[in-house]
Amino acid sequence: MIDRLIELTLKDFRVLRRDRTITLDGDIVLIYGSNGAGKSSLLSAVELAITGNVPELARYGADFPRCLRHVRAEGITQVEVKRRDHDGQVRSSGCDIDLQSEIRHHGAILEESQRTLFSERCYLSQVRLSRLIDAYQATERGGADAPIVQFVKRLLAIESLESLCEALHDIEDVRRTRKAFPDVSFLEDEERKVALSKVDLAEEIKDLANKRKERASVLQALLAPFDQSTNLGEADPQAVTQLIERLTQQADALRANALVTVEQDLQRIRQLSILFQGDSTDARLEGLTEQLRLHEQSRQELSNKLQPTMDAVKSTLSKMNASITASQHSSFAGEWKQLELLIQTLTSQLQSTLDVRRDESAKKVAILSERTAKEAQLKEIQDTISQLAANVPQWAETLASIASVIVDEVCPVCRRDFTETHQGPLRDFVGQRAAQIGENANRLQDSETQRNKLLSELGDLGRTLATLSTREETGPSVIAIEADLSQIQKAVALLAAGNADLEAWIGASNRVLQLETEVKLFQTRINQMADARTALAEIAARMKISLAKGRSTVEGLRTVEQACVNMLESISKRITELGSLRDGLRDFANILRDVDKLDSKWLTLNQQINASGEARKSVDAVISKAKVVLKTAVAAKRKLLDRVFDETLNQLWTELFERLVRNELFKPRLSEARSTRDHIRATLQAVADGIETPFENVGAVQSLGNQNTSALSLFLALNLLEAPRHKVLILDDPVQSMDDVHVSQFAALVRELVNQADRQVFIAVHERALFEYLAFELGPTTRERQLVTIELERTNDADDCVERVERREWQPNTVNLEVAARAS
Amino acid sequence: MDSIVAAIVETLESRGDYALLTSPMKIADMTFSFDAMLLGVEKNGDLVIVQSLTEDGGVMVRRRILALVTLLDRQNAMKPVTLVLVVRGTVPTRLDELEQVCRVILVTPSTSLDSALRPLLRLKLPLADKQRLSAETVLMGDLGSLANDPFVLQLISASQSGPEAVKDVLTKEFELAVNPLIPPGKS
Repeated sequence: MIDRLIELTLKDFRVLRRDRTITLDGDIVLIYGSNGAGKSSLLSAVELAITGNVPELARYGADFPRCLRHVRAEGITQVEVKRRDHDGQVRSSGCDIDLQSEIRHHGAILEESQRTLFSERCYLSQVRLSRLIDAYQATERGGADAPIVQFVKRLLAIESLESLCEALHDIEDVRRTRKAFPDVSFLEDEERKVALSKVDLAEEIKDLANKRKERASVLQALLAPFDQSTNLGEADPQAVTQLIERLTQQADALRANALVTVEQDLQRIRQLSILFQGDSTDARLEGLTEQLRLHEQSRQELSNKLQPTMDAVKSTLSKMNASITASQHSSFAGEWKQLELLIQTLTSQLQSTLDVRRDESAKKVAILSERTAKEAQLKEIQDTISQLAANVPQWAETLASIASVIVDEVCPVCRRDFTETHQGPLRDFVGQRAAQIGENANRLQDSETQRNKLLSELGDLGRTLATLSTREETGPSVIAIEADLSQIQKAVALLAAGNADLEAWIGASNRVLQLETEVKLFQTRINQMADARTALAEIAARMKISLAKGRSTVEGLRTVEQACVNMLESISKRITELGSLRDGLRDFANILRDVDKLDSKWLTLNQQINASGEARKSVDAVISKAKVVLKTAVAAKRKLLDRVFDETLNQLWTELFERLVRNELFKPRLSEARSTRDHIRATLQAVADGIETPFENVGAVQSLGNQNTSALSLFLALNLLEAPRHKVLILDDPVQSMDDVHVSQFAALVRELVNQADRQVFIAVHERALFEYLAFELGPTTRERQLVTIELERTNDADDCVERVERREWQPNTVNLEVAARAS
Repeated sequence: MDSIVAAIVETLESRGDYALLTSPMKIADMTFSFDAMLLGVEKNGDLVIVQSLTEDGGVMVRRRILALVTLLDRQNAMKPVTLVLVVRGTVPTRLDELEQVCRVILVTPSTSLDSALRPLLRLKLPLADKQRLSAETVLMGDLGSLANDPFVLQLISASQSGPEAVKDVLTKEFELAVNPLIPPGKS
């Protein structure tokens, strides 16, 4: 708690430049300065040095420290206040503001709550006074935004409680909480969701458990023939999967071994059964063998009969250098047929050779004849040529000479007119003759050509003739050929005669072959039947069927076939059953997997339920605590309000107001301030003596000067109301609207504040006359009192202010006033 | 002594720090006589003159007061002077002349002495038992053991920054509570 401010040191603070140290060590510190001379700067420096802040400037923004530095400051701005605290200790505190406008505190800056108290209750800045006056003039009354309410809140420094109340308001109501805090709503949704999911999942698990039980029961019965060891009621999906694999192996084994074997047996039995259809006795084999013998005999006889003919023919053919080789036939009939073909070929060849021979003979005769004719023709041509050739040159020469001299119709020889003896012109005549000569020459040439041609043809004929003659001489003669043909005709006749026998031989031979085949087949069949009986016995033995003795093989086959069919059906049925069982087990495994999944889901769901339960606990705990905080904050607000705004305040306020104002009908008071859950409600009133109903609008009934006084007196009342108090009162130009009488009253009150309330009072004024009056009025009247006056004035360059500080102390009194002796 | 004057004297003596001076009073060889003169005791050096208004309309009173004040100034007495003027009839004119040199308080028979003499009475200060309590102190005290709860401390700390900061704390606490319910990757 501050008892007294002693000294202020500052450098380059706001309008106050330079280093300066100003004493504040007086009961009253009276500061004078014209507007802008630095009064408020000085008071702000005091506030900053004590509290580390200037709230009225700080509300302009975070960079307000820049405004605290002198505009031309080059170094660090400094403020420091030396003070004496309630404990008698002298302490210093202050701030440095560097070039970056960073504020650094040092010394014994007041703690947080005390700072607010100092700023709100001890320092009446002009802004704060204006705000108070605004509260008087406001038409809005009582509401949360009413200036008086704002004032009350600031005064009580309950913004933090207000913040708590406002922020935690929603917590009281579930719907508002849900709306204001999505996470709470989310949690409720989650709780609902998991609760519903739990019900659904429980139902699902129950259904699936029933299904599992039923299916296990059914499948256990189906499984019994194949597996006795597995208990499906307790099996897990892996065990069921392994069981399915075992059953699959069983089915595969059945299919691969038993089924295939029985199918093969059945097929074998059926094949064997075919062998036993029809006659299959030995008698039948003997009959066939006899028939074979007879036909073989017949075939041999016919061979013997035809052999001479065939030998004769072969002999004939060998003479003609034609024979068949053994490879060309495979049987008697084949040889016979080969001979026939050979004869046919030979006949054809001989006939052809004969025809050629005959043609060549005819051709030779014709050539000879033609040669003779051509030779005659040649002789004739040669004669003609000889004849023509002898005259031609001469004619030609004559005609050529005549022609060159023929000019007109006069004969160049005789000089006679040609027309006299001949018809037509001479030139034509000569031309005709020349043409005749030319024609003869042409004929000669043609004859020569013909002769040459004939000579060539004769050459050709001679060569052809020579060729023909050569062939005739080297080849067989026509007679020889015709003789051979005759021999062949005989052989043909021989073969033709034996053809009937040959047909019989072929028939017999074919039958022999057929019978041989038949006998072979029969023998094979008899062997097969023997094998079949053996196989039947084996199959029967394998199938553990005893075949009754004396029963036929066919019956045995039927018995075994039926047994195979039955066995086959049985195995197929077993395989089918295994298939169905596996399908069922697969479904069952799926059910088990579903059960596992549901179990897993159930586990997850329970984890979610636990998590949401934990979250619910946490949220409820938060809500519960927040509710307690809210309730406590509301109560604290009310408690603080009740402590300050009670009738004591109004009484003190009235007392102070009446000291300042003379003859004022209306006195200010504060209605009972109330704190509802969320809001503070308070109104300013004016009361008049003898009037019961207070006036709610103070601004309407009080003069402006008295409103100023009301505000000032309220501030003073609040300063004096509570203890412990900082015994400092700083009033920045508090008497702006006061007349002289009020100022006089104010001075008396200040003295009273000093004397009775032990306050150190700072008063700043901007009128010199007022300053001088107050300096006189507030001068020390006793030895203990001091008055400090500080006069501030701007320098001529307006860059700085100078101060004149005077500390006035009590002077020995020259006036002795005698106090009357009182009886009692 | 006039009854009103007597009442005023009694009031000032009992409820103000004043003592009655002998009358007439002699200052620098000059004698001044008023109905009553009182001087502040201890730290209070005020001089209070109580005077009933005479029939001359206060002319004599004004002259004497002006003379007294002038004399005191000359003597550098440093004694603020208050004139309590008891008026039974018409309020005198030219009071403003007196008000230039001293405080003037008019008292009529109908005047409440309490109100009229208020500036001269001792300031009635309330009992000093009211300890100034900060909001936080009250809140923390009333919260009891909960005042040590980290979440509550966060709320109270955030309340210094306004309601939104408090809501942020609350929101974060709820968020922290329900965070385990939010699947990874979703927020």
